[in-house]
Amino acid sequence: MAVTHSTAARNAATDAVTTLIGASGNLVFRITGSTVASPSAAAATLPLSATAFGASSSGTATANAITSDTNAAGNASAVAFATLQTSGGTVVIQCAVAASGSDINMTGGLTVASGDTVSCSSLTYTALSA
Amino acid sequence: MSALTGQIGEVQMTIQITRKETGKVEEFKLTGFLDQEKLKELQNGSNTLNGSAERGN
Repeated sequence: MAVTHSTAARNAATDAVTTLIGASGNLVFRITGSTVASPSAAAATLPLSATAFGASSSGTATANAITSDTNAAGNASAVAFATLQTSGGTVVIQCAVAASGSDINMTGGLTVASGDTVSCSSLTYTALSA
Repeated sequence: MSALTGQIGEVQMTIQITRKETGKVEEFKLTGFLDQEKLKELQNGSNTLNGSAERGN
């Protein structure tokens, strides 16, 4: 049986998680093999705003401006995870990512090469489904 | 431990990669699942607490 949460409950859950990121956290793209306790190698690191997310609305929080990584570390392996973490490196959210590319062959996965610029124009987080 | 699991969260993002060598900009829409085990559960319709090799069932 599905569990349904009120909008207030979903907002509270989302805000509780995003608050844990604290000031000046990072969005990090990582290769395969990452765990919360032992994150894998970073392919790109994008600084979040001092206040990472705005207040949740309808259960979803939208990230404030994210700074591009203009000189990505890169990796031959494809990006497999994204982590949202504190400025001290503690992972708050880790997710496996799947990509749909607009104009390249995605058979080999999403790769970031050394020196590439990686930008994030939108980022939302939803703790609980409606 | 209960085998019941709750609904999971979701991360959605749009990223752009500007290739150093070519200057070409590629855009991707990424959907994040909170962990790969959850992703496998959703794909397989199974519960990893009951189906892991370690448990032998």
